[in-house]
Amino acid sequence: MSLELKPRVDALRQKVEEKGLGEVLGRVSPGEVASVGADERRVVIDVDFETYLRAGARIGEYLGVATILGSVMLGRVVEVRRRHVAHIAHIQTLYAPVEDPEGLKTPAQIVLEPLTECPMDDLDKCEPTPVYTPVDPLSVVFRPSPELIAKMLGLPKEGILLGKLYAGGFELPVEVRLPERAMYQHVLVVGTTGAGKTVLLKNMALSTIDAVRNATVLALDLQGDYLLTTLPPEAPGVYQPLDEITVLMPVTRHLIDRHREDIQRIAARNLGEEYSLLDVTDEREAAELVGRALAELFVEETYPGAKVLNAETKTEDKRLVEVVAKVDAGGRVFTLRLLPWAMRFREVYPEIPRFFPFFSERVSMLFRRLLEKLAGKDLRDIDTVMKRLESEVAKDADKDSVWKDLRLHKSQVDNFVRGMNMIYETGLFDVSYAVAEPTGRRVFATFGEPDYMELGGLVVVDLRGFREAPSVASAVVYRVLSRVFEARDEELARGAAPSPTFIFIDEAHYYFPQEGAREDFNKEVVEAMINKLTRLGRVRRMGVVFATHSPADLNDLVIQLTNTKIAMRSEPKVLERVDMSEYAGELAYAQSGVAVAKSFIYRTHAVTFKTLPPQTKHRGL
Amino acid sequence: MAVDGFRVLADYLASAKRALKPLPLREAEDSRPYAVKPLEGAPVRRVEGGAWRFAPVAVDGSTRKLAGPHFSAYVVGVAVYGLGEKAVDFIPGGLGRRFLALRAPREVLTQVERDGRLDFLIVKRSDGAYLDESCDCTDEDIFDEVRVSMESEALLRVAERGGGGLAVVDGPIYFDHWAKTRLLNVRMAAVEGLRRAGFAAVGVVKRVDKSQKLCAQEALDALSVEVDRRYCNDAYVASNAAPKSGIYLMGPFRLSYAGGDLRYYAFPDKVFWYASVHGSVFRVEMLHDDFRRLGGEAEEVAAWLAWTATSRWIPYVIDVVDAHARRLTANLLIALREAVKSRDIPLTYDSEVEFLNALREHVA
Repeated sequence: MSLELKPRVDALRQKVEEKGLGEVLGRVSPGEVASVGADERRVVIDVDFETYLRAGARIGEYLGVATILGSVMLGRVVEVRRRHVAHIAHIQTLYAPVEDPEGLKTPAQIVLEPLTECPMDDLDKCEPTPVYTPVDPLSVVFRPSPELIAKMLGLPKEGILLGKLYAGGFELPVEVRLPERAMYQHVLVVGTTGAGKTVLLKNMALSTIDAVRNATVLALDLQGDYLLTTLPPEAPGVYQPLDEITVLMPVTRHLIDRHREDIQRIAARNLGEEYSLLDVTDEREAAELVGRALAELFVEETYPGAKVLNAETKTEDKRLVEVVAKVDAGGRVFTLRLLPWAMRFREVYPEIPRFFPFFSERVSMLFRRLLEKLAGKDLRDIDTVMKRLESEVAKDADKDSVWKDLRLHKSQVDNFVRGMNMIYETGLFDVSYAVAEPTGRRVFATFGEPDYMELGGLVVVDLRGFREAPSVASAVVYRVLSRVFEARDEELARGAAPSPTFIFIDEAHYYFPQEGAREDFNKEVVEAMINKLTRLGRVRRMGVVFATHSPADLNDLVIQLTNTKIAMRSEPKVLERVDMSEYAGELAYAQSGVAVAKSFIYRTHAVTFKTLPPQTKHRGL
Repeated sequence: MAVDGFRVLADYLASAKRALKPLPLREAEDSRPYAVKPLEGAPVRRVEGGAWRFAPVAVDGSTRKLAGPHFSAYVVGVAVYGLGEKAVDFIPGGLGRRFLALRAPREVLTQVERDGRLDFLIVKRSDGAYLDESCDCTDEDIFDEVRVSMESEALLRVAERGGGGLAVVDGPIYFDHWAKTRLLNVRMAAVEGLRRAGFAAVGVVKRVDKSQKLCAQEALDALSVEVDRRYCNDAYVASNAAPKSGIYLMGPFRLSYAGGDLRYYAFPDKVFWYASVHGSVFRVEMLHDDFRRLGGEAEEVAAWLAWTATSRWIPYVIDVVDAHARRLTANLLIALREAVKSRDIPLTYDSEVEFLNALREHVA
């Protein structure tokens, strides 16, 4: 029996070479136990020194094993052992430090963790399985081709491109994708500053638009990163920069005040020297001039040096709905669809305590009644409400007042008044561009919300102006997410397949309440909304991609409901928070762009990849 | 290969019916007249520091014996360090196959000789005489027969590789026994091959308690050691000539085989040093021709070997080959013993002890 094994063992190497499985490196060590048990999977390989020197052996790389029993396995290198001959022979010199280079010519030992297997004779048709069959010593070990690696890992061929497979410190020509269905079960990206989260998210956004038909990618953008996706990178990438981008631009009263003169200046320039905006009598034309001026201001701030070639403005009455502008940024021409965004008080007031939780429990409960009683038929806009509130406060509270009717305590009245003031101060409600004229205040344009059903492609919620005002940013985000959710809900209720919507939230910790941060108190509302999206989004074809360097600041539900986790260079405690401690060694000092994706979607549970270089212009490049 | 071959061999040994008579012990190392003279230079000098200067090739053979009433198997393994792509090469292994001498009744020897599966066996001496019950030899003779030929084969491989340098051998460069002139010729041919390939052969002799080279009066005078020459050996002289702490080199001394007998010309002159490593001593020797050729380097070689002494009190390169050769023969002995025991062949007490020693070394 034993002698019959010899030809089989000898032929194995030949078979590997004939099938073109890859370069033979060595054999499974006869001097070690090759174990594929439930608790331990470990195969040690002897590689002669010459092969080791020529072919190398690197932690994390994939190797193939052709077993004596006829399987092909794929494994991952978890350890490479090198010993000097002095160690092998247990030699210690008394005085002279050993500097003997000959002693390096010892076989390398590679420890492999088997991952998947296929029958060698049915390799082409095989669907890889976990390793069930044993690995005998003297099995042949080879360096597999990229195609074989992709096959044995069972990597999805379609979906959102995350990057290229990364093994042994090198990028392999194997694409790592995340299928669309995994996106609906949400993604969490963690990594320290500079690890490459934003590049990954931006690339994913491009790939999502490319791979998922009719996809809407809604990006909450605090830094202006996504606004650059229309511009080319330094070196051409796999994807082209977007030809069209939709920007949802919150317009506050403060913003209008700050740019009042700029708008007039730009409008005058567009009209010709001898006219000014005040000369325009046609209401529609006036609104369009304001819209174009806003678009030009936006382009000036966002794409320095770029020009607006032409702009079409859509209005409804005086409401400026959108400005569609052709922008030329250094020869790169793209379409900017700018949606000036503000809230109308009379439309949203019942919901206000939900996303502006400045109010006590009782005031929140009575909020709607309070306002309706206070303003009655005059509940047109926030200015009217505030005037009524002012006169109401001036009254004797014990006599005929709203407070008395609703049996409000003085502290509750104070809470209500203080909260209303704070809401008013946000400048987010009933925003218009108006100019005081001798005949009175003339309104040129008003701002509202878009038709959320019609959003498509990349939609950037431009939050750059709110980095120092998280409560205002949170209110905007709450409202937008809430309305998008409702839009998908409505599609679902109609029996139609909801349009695929993916919400990209970079710096996600910013939107979650943090202990001791008073300014952040209404983030709880956004947190509740994000929880709602993650819990209920899947059936509505809504997926959320979170990215943060501080997952400790995310709530447990988000951690729990993001079924794909991508970790980039991170500290061990960060990885522990997302249950990826086992990758600490790999990721603690990883290069920028290197990441481990852990997902139910991958046969091996986790895949290491390197992100593509920025596919569009990126800050800092 | 060896495991399957051992099983075949054990089948033959199981059929042996006649016992073998015990063999006599071997004579002392120095049995021929010679003269020792100190050469120029300090007779005792302290070795202090230095760079890792040399990258020699080193060769060592290890021997083990497994015996029963009907047979004696002499297992030899040779390790070569620094030869080529691997740190260590072996016989048996990449450098050669025959490694086991068998002494057994003639009919067993003739049977195994014809069996092609047992091509690792040596059943005759180099003069053609079978290693049977009538063999006029000692255990040491048989070991030497196998070891010298295997080591010489290894040295020829070193010469074939070329490139020059140092070839350090564990043991004397050559034996000076009349009875082994043929082995001497084999070794000298290998040394000559080395010389032609630009190598200088250097011997490191660890067991010097039977040697009396330093007991020559001129050597004793040079080392300022007083000793009753009737009870003298090199280990004693060398350890008394140098302080007990530190590393010292004594020599060089030139050794010439004296007398008018033409046969003495078979033994070329050697130059040797003794090294004392904290009182433990070993001898470093080379042919006088190589000594001249190397010039001042010759003593640096000896000093470097001493400076690189290991915790086993021997030069680093010798320790490397010694450890590998011993590990090799330990593995072979264990495999052979398993095969023999599986056929219920009894073994001597000494062999069982040897087996246990090999097991200990195997797991170390």
